[in-house]
Amino acid sequence: MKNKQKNQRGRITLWQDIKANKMLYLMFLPAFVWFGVFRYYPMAGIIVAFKRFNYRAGIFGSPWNGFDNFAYFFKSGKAWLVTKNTILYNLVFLAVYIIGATLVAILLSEVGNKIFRKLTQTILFLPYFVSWVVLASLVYRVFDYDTGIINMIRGFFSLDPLNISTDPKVWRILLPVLYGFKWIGYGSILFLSAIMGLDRSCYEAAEIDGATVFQRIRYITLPLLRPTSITLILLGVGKIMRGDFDMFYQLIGNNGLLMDSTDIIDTLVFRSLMGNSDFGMASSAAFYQSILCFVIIITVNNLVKKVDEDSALF
Amino acid sequence: MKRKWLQKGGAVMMAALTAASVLAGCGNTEVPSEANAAGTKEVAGESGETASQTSDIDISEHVDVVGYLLGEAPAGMDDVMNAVNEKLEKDLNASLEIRYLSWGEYTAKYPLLLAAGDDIDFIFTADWCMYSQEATKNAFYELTEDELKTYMPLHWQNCAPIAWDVSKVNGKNYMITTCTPDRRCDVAAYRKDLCDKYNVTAPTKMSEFTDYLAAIKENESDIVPMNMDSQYDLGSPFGALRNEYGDRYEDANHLGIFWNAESDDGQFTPIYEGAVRESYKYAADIMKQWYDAGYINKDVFSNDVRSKDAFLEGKSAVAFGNSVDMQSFLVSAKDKGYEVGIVPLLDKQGHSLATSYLNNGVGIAATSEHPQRTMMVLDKIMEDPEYNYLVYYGIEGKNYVITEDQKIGLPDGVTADNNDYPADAAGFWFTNKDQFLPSATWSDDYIALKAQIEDGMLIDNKLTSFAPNVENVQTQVANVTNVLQQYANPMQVGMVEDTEAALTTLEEKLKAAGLEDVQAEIQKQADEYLGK
Repeated sequence: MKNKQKNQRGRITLWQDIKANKMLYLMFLPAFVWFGVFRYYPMAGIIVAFKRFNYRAGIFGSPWNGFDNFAYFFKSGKAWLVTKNTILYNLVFLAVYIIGATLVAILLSEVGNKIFRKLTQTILFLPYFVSWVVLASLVYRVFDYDTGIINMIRGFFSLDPLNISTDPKVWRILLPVLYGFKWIGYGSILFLSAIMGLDRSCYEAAEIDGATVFQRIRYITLPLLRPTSITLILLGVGKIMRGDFDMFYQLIGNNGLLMDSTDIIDTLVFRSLMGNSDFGMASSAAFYQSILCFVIIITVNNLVKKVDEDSALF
Repeated sequence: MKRKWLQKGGAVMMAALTAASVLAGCGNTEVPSEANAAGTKEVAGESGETASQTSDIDISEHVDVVGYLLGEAPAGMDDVMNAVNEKLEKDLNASLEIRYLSWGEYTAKYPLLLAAGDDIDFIFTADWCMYSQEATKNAFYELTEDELKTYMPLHWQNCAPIAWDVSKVNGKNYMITTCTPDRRCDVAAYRKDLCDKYNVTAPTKMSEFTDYLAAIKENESDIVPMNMDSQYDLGSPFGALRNEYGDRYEDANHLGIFWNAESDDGQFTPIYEGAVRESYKYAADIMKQWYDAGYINKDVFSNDVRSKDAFLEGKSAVAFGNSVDMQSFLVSAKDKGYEVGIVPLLDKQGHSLATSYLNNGVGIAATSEHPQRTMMVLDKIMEDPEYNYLVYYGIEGKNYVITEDQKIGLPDGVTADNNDYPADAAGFWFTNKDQFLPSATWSDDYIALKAQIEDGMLIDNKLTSFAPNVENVQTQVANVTNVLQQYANPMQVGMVEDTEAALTTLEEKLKAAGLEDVQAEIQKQADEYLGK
């Protein structure tokens, strides 16, 4: 890199850096514009959470109303429940995702047959493209009370049929399973590319020394995958307060009987405000989520930094 | 050297392209076409016949009006809109584009559409469809008497003055209401042929359906006796049962607070008190009995196929709707060879509530650039019989014919099933229905029902058109809405273990959510409204 040139004070200015690395900055430009337009610019709108919004005055012209918009969420009596549900579900999802994806990636990397590997990879990747709407209708067919295959099998073993419309317990298992089904294929590709990038000579050396497949995985692959895993975990933790609204809403919908165990912040807010469509109140929940996410990601990142400085995100 | 240039150029291009595609999403896609505008101006100049009506209004500028309605576009929509636009170009130098908000998503998209305010001139609205919520947020263009008289002369002339009074929110008007509120009642349809086959007495009210449902469950393994969806049907049989228990109690704005349609006392009662609670318990018990016996589908909350559609496919033995929107259903059922019986869903006194003027209407978006011209277009569509027939029944000769005995029938070879623009299906529910001839497809049962409706079935109440403004109790409303969804909805389908316990929980949760504040606020406004 040419950016070793320094100005009089011994420091590189941004402009000098840009001049020195034109190409790199140009490649960074699209991402910069994208984040600017879709991530940073709309941030100013968060003030609507503290306003009594009306269409004519717009976001900036509407009158302030302090913390009024936050009241409904904390008075709903469910603030703690849904916050807890959101965090717990996301933790389970994250664990399923990281462990599942690592496992699949390692298995795939050990498969010798290239065609088989590519085929499996593609098939595993497919659910990523299937929307929750489609998956939801699939789930309801498979679990149909009278005609679903699950209940037919249960009937064969003389077990009571499952009614997923009224039984919240089923969903505590079903939701992580479905999440894994949809995302593990996608995650395994990230891990697989990381594995492919590992130094092959380590493996060759280990093989010569007589290491078994399991020993190679245990002592070479897993330790070398640690930075990738930590990055993905940190990214996951960053959105731990954001429930996967699509998933929960398509699968559970407005079924009151399941709500205490499946309600997350996003669905509670959607349900409460769908009728009166108040943007200020909806934004207050987003604000709450963002603040908590921010605190959590900073804390976790600092913890990681203490243990392993190179793996931290920033 | 050459390669380096290529690399550089390629990167620049890529960056530019990506940036452009990102930015394109935010751009305004409206491209005014000058050629088009000029062309139509000429046409407008030629049509002298309408000049008298609109002579003092400047319509030299061509305007594209965009309107939003509920439902889905029928297959024949394009043909109808072409015909409408041909006339509009000539009469008003304008064109109309209709877009649809589907039943499943309209509650979520409606506010966003109005908040964004791009490319929208009018939108369907009603007391059950966002009217007071959006009006209080200034989402609609404020209507004045002068403007209505000038730009909607036919409508102003045809409408009873009361319509203007009842559509006020905070003393201002935002809704162009229908002139002809529907004379209708809620109905449940059942298969008469199956009733006869299994020797079951034909039901005359909701609670008498038990034997019929049992017979279907026992003998027709392919049919779910009552196959309900999560939007319309959820609550339909429950409401019918609740009403037939005693007086008809109406829920103001779906907030769990009821007023008695049979009385003029103007009092609001919460779900958990007095006669409302009794009727709730009665209905919940019957629903639970039906659900436990397997008469009701288990997936009500995730099902979005209305019972009347499932009925026509042989997947449900009961269908819910109202006497107006069931017309085409009855014809289709007949074509399928089903013999259908209709049960009006009435209260104990045999009454149903007359619908208010607010039940169907249009609001003009506050952001509309041409509110006046939009009004002129709406005046034509709602009150000019030629337009009115076109948007409601489709194209004459293709979608409907006028029979010799002055009735509306289907052309030869067209059936209810293959008609690509069925009556009432395109969402123009707010037009002047007095202009329509009776339909040739009405069965004797349906004609009898209509007579019954006209003959004192409908009762009026001052509170019918009362639309409370809940701005001051937003917090409580949000939480009450949420509690009702979680604790009242399962009861309405019969899914709860113990109805008494469920009612007690509902009461506790509603009180904690602040239902009493909401009740007090609404009662206060109702007292003012009734002039107490």
